[in-house]
Amino acid sequence: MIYDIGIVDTKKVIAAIKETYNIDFSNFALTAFKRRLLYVLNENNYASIVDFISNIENNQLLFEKYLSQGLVDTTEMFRDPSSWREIRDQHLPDLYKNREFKVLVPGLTSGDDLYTLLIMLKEAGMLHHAKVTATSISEIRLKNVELGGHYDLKKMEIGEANYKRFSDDASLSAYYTLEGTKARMNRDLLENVTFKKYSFLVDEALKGFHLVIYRNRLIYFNPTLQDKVTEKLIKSTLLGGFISTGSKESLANTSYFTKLTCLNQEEKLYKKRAE
Amino acid sequence: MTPMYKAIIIGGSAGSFQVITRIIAALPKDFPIPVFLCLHRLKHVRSGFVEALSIKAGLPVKEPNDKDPIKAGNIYLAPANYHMYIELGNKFALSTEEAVNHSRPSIDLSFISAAYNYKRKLVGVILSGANKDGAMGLKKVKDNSGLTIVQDPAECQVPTMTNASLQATNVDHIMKTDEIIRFLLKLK
Repeated sequence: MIYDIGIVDTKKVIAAIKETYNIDFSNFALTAFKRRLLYVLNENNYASIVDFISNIENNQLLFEKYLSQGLVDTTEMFRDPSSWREIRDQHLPDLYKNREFKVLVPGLTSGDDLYTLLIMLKEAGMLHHAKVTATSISEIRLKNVELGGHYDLKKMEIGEANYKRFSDDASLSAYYTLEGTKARMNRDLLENVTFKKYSFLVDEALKGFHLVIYRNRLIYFNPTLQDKVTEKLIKSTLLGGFISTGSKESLANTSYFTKLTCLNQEEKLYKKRAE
Repeated sequence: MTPMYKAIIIGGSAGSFQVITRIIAALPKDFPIPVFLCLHRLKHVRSGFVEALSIKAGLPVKEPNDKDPIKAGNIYLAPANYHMYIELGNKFALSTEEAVNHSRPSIDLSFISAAYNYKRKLVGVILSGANKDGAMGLKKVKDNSGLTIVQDPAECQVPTMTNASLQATNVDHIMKTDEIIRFLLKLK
């Protein structure tokens, strides 16, 4: 068991990953990055940082596993239900005027926000009108979510409690089936979803989206990377389109805020301004 | 004169609300050290808590957004359903990592990150509470040469958290609420 990692060791890991895989984690928020690294080291019984580095350098599968396990995946379905209600009640009708609209869900880890979005669209009768693109840096994560996830029942209880604050009409359990002690989301929700491996760190912005759902991911970046990612989020959004972030992620802290109007300060919902 | 301490961090749970309100009501407007509050709270209730604490406080009470800068003259409350870290560069960082000690925000995680950042320039205070969250965090404050205070368990409505802290580390002071207030005011 490794109990703590210092900043020097953390930087060694970041340097090794950059050298071998050309992915630069140096602008990730340090405290959470270190905690996740510590989690991966102990979860896989690595003896030391040196042991970990030599393994991921020489084995891409182990690196992929690190990418997957290192992502924070403990958000919730329908987290901040008031935010989802705001999107549903105030802005989905506008999007629907396009008959067909495009939604981007980048940085997928557990799939919580993706399935929340899809359930919201289905209940609004808009599932067939939305083309959804979901991306992640991790192929393992993409595959898992594409297969309907494999969620603990405790997680589904939390999601159910949130869902009750979102909608009185139904139950979250209508959208998943039990497989032993795990829940798998109904895959018919996914018929208009495209899964794509994508990295904000390396790849160009994906373009042409009416709505971008990017909740509680910016918190894992430092201000430099938050700026860079926000620029890409804005490029991905059509003029007049919407960006939804976590309730404590303020794009007002970034250099690109002039391109946005904040529609709701509590829910952190933004609209891209006309140039 | 530069204060000896750069930050005060206070953790509490069941039975701590009245203690906290008394402490923050006593802090003057020119109190030169930022104060962090990490209190267990209902995760789905985002509003109301800051407002309730603000009624008595002389200083502004805020729930920081992610990467907000830390400034003296403010009291900062860990927001609902996020862990609150003190990050390099004197900023807050928030996280939705798993609950620790069944808690998000976790007192341990806030204290550990503050201890790492401020070392001996940190004062850590653990108040009344019904689980052991905070004990490991206070130990880290002590291990990094910070100053540690525990509310006198005899005065706590629920002494589980303070007793766990006393077991985890050799704390500097065991104090009643009035003594904690007098002590903090002298840091000015």
